[in-house]
Amino acid sequence: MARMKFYCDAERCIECNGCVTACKNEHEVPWGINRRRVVTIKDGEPGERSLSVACMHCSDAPCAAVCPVDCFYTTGDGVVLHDKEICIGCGYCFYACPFGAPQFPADGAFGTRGKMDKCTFCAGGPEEDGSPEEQRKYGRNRLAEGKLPLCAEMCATKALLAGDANVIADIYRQRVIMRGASVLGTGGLFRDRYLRMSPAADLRGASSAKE
Amino acid sequence: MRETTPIHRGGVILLLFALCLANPAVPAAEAVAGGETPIVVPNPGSDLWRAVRQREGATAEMPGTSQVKGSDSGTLIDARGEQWRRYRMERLIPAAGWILGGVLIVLGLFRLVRGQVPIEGGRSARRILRYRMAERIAHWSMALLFLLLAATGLVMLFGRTLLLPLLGGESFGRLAVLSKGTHDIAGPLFFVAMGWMFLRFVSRNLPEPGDLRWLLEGGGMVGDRHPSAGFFNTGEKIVFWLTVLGGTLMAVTGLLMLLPLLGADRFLLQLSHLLHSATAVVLMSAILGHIYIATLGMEGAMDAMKSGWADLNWARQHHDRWVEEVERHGGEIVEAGEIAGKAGQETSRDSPGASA
Amino acid sequence: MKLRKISDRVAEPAPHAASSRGLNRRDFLRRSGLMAGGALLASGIAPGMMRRATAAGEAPAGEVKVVRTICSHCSVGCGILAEVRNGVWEGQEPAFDHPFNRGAHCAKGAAIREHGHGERRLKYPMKLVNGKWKRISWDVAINEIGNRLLEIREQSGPDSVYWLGSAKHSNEQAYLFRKLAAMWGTNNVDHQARICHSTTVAGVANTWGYGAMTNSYNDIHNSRAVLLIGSNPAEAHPVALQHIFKAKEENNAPIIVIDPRFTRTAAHADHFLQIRPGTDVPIVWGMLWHIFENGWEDREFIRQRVYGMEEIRKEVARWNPEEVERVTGVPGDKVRAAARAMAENRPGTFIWCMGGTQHTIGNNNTRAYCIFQLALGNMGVSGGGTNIFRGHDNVQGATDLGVLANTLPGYYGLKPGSWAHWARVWDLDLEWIKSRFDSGSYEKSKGRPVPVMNTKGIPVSRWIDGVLEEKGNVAQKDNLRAIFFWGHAPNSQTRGPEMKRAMEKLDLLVVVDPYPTVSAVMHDRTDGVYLLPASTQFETYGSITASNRSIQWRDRVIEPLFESLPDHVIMYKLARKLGIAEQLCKHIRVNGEEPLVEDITREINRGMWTIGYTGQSPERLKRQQKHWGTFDYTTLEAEGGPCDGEYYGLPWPCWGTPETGHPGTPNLYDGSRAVARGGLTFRARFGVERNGVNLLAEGFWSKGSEIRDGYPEFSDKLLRKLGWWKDLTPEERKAAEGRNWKTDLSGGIQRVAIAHGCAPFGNAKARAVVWTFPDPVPIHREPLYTRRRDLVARYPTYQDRKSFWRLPTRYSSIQAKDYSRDFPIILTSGRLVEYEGGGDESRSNPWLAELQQEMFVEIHPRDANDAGIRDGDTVWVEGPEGGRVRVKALITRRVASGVAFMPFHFGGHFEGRDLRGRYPKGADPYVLGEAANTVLTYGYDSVTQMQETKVSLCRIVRAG
Repeated sequence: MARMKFYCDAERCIECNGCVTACKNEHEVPWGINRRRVVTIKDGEPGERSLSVACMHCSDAPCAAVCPVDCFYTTGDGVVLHDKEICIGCGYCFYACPFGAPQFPADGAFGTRGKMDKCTFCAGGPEEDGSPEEQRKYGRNRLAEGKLPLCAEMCATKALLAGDANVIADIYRQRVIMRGASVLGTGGLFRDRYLRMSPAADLRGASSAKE
Repeated sequence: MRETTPIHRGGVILLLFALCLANPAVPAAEAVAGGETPIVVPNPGSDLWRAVRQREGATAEMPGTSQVKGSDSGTLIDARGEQWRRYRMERLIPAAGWILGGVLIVLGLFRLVRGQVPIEGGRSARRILRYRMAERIAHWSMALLFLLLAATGLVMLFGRTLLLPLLGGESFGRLAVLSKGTHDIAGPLFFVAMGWMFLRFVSRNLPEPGDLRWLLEGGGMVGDRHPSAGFFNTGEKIVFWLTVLGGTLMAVTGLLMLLPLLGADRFLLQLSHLLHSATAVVLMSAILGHIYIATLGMEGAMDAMKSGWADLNWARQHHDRWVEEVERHGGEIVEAGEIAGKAGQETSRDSPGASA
Repeated sequence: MKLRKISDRVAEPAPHAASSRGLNRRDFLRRSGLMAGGALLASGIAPGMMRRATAAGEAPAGEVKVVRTICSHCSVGCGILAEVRNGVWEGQEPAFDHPFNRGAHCAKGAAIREHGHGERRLKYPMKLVNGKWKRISWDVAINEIGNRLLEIREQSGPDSVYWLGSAKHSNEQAYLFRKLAAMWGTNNVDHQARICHSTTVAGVANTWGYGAMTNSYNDIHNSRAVLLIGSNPAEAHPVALQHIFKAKEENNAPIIVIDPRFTRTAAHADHFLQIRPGTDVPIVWGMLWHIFENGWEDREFIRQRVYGMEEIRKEVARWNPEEVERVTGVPGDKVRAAARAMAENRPGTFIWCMGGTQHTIGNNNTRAYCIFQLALGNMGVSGGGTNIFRGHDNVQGATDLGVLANTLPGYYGLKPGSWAHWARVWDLDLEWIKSRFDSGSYEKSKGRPVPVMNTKGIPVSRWIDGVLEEKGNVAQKDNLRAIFFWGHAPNSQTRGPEMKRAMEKLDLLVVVDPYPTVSAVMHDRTDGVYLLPASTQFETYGSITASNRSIQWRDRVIEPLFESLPDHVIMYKLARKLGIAEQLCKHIRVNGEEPLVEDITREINRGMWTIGYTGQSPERLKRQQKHWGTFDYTTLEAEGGPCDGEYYGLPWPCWGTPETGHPGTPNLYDGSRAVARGGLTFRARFGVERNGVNLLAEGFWSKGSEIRDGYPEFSDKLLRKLGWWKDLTPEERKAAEGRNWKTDLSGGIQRVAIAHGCAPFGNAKARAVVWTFPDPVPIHREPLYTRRRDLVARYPTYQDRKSFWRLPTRYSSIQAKDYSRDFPIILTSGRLVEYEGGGDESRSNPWLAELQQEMFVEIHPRDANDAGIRDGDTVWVEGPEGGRVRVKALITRRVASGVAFMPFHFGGHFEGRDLRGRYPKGADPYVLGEAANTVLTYGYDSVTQMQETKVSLCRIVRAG
């Protein structure tokens, strides 16, 4: 049985946010709810890297553990889904999730926390696959159509991968071998070959563009 | 736009969680991202997230940036969620169970040992006006809302453990949705009722010189003497202030959790939940005591909250200084038979016995 | 108690971020009057009703149709599969087999389906009456506009109307637009290419023949080194990165980024050189200094194929590491490392974008880049080349089709011969065309007056001056009095406050666009403004040219929403009103009011011999689109299938007629293949000899060439001389008599030349020295607004010019004054990935707008601390010409100390004022903000009038 996973290749992610809008597009997610986001670390400095994050569909999902109404379930493909009929919008899953995946709309007349919404790995919800009801609540069920999540399928640089964990691990391994670099490497090869500077040297140079 | 300022809150967080939990901070990502690790190939995800957690600008203490604007959207990975999870699952739920259960047991034992506190000298023929209609409404609306909040809150706290196996998914789901909805609406109403009650009663709940003695004497529960007290004895004052302060805390933290528009980040929400749940347990314990006294623990204790009039003997026994004051000012002390006629005058402005 | 579920909201439109809460879809439909029986309702389609909106309970009926179309944002040309049911654009699937993008998209491409909603579109023709927008009918609009135009023509001549076209047009629309301007009788026609890559086109074409990207995005797979200067594809062309990463990962190609900003691209580079803005020539010469110093240049390549490298050597010799560091700020060892990496890893590709082109010396920059590649012998090879990433989806096509003030379609220029050629293609009387122009003359050549039709028009960068300049200073009959903004964002142009004045001075302002654009709101006019709703690219069809010269056929996805009309329909309506429709569409069938797109393509095929737009018939293009999966990801060549042997998009030049079956030219000037298989030489464009030096190639020829040396361009005379005349058919002979490869409408000359293995345009050397330009050898000149006063004497700008493209143009008089004391920060501008161009379209797309909600200025922490500015503060950015904008401060090390950066996509605020209320109701973009160009200043390229947007000065102060 396949075990579905996301993996974002930090060497390739350029923070183009294509995954974010692909998700909005595919599921018509309203303004303010973002099932996926791209986070950039060390923005604007050497070593800057970006990663696209959404629900990671954890095996021992903290959200499921803390849910007071037990609305989460894991599909045969290892996708963590939830039932909006049961969800009470308490927000506990958001407190527990290390990736900040659960999202809550401001709902009703007073803008109270509505029912949780999160990445479904494009696998819909508990309703019948591909039913209008499912689509309305969770967005499109691509997995049922034999397709993978649109965010990964549309990734500009093929940084975001989605699918069977084993296949992804293979792709990843091939890339690492090809690059001969670590997952978060910063181009050590160039430095060794052309710059012959001490490894600690700042490639960017503080003196640049001084006047 | 992209923002870059990191927010440093690490110290506070560590301190807070260290106070609540004795557990060392356990990294969460391995557990959650590791997945069903295939035997042959290592999961690239674990490598990645291990690397990420060692990087500056990825964690909650030093977030990165994101074009998605939302709570903590700049944080790649936040291990505090795991701490909160442990707090709720391993501390709060068992502790609340033990504490609330313990209080019930203690009260039961107390009742068995001590029995009901009788009115000394039996009921009198005279009644003293204690609570006006508005005050009773304030109290009872608050009381009702409190019970509702406690019940629905308990559904959220223990429902999955206790009710779900009993009711099954669908019924429990419906109950949970109803409970959460009721809780959300009852909460703000409770705050309003509490505010009303606060205004009506605050002047009589200010500390007095006699309070310390009352406390030292254990409110009469210890020993045989009845300590002297005013309109409210110190025990009642404690319940009052616990309710007001605790209730306010409950309201603030509750609103933070309820309204995403307030923009609380995850840490604030976790903190809110922590305070909300801990305070809830304390308040429920206190109110259990309060209810015990009013119902099983003491004869005549609830009369005034029911009709507005208290038995004069009861009043002398428990609120001697107040009765003295009422008598000095010629307040409303009537024969039991006259009460029906007096009821109409309850609209008078000043609370009986309000001390200047 | 009714609990609302999030799921109830999924299909609702996004509530607005900060201000005015958005309407929900039903409100929107009701208010826009569409519920009450618009044309769309009649056809049973609720506009913008989406799959999820319709799916409320009942299962949607109807078949899903998959339409192949092309993204409308940048020039990469990503393929899109649009799922359409009952005329509603329901879904978007990745086109995994598309050779350019393999299904990948950036934020814009992944959000393209929002065009099917179009909630913030301009919905019907509108007119400004006493400061209020009034809905009018198309007929009224065309009538009123036409009458006003004719009146202005009567009073001030045809040149007083400015035709500002667009890179968003399809090839067919762009062509028709240029033709329309010609029929109207003016060369005052231009489009965005002027302000994006005009210096590239001029610089590159004058170096080796054609002004376009030489290789392709896919060909970067073969590169062993990648150098990017003034280019940030991670934000501007994200899908290009998938090709660059392939080279990086599989070839271990070093990625070198030269930029004033540490961009998202730089973050993924192996080597980053942070230059002071505007010092491109010094950094390139600095690298070349090391190459010459160490003998790393390709001597044999230079001997065979380059003219004038010795003169370059002399200039480069001055740029020793010390001088380079003094001027650019980059330490010598870093420059050397970059040079060595490029020298040791060949072929390497050289990529540039607007960071290099938008300068007063833009043409010097682009030529310096070319010369760098020539020195390394990186030209005409797979994996090498100058990969110039163009901006808009069809800016290459619109440029090729001559929506420019200085040329007719196909870079024929404006010479009498050029007009004669096109008059023949159009089958019109040249004298009639001439009669449409002003009968006077604006300038003299060799003492003789030049007819107006042969005089360059006013470029779009300077239309403001065409309006505001004193009548006596403008070299035409009168000032500009009317202007069409036909798919153009004014906020992409500098000098905002002056532009506002110019807009207010005009008699007539017509905006033809799917969105109202900033043109509708930035001025204080109360009348004389018309807004005409144009359809988007997905509501019409036609061909578009990607950056790599590949022409793709874009299918229509949905019918035009609201009352919008495709551009070519609007052009036809207008032409009919102006009385020139018959000439405009003489050989183009018209269905109702819609000129047949395929017929326009065929007319383009008939005339565009110069750059080989002749072989790409609609039939061939459509066949390729249908079988795009058969083309190779790296070579772009089809293996088997109906397009066997063709290159994807028949990249121009696709020589001869469609019947010739030329496969297109994937890489320009590549001698390793036969011309018939896409090989090429450098074009013989500049004569055969100069000062006794041979300009033709020496000892180099393309594969299979029967002339085994350089040769000039082909003409009837050359064919006769070679004895190849007899190879022509009798009909071809008749057509070719007295013609050359560019003007022979039969294509016979090209056919025969290619049959003998020769390039129709000759086989010459590239010229490193462009003797016709102000700076024959590219040299550094300090920007007009510079902080480095110490360099002004050594590297001064040009002298002011009295009449340049019909207008006085200032250089030294601006540079003479020292502004650096009051405006100490260098200001530069650029793109964000979520938005494009002026941003009206992308800021109206909620999926994109949510990701960039506020205009900002990037400031280095040092400058921020000096000015007492904290991150997130509101600040005023003030320019030396008086423009100022109120924006949010973003403190970041992306910019160097002393440099500030602003994105240019925002608009709708002007100098602190929010203009949201001025948009027609419901047509205001979700996100508004100050336009960076309100602050940016004067400065124009010395050849093309490209605007200077990359170097100016400013001061930044906290807003009170």
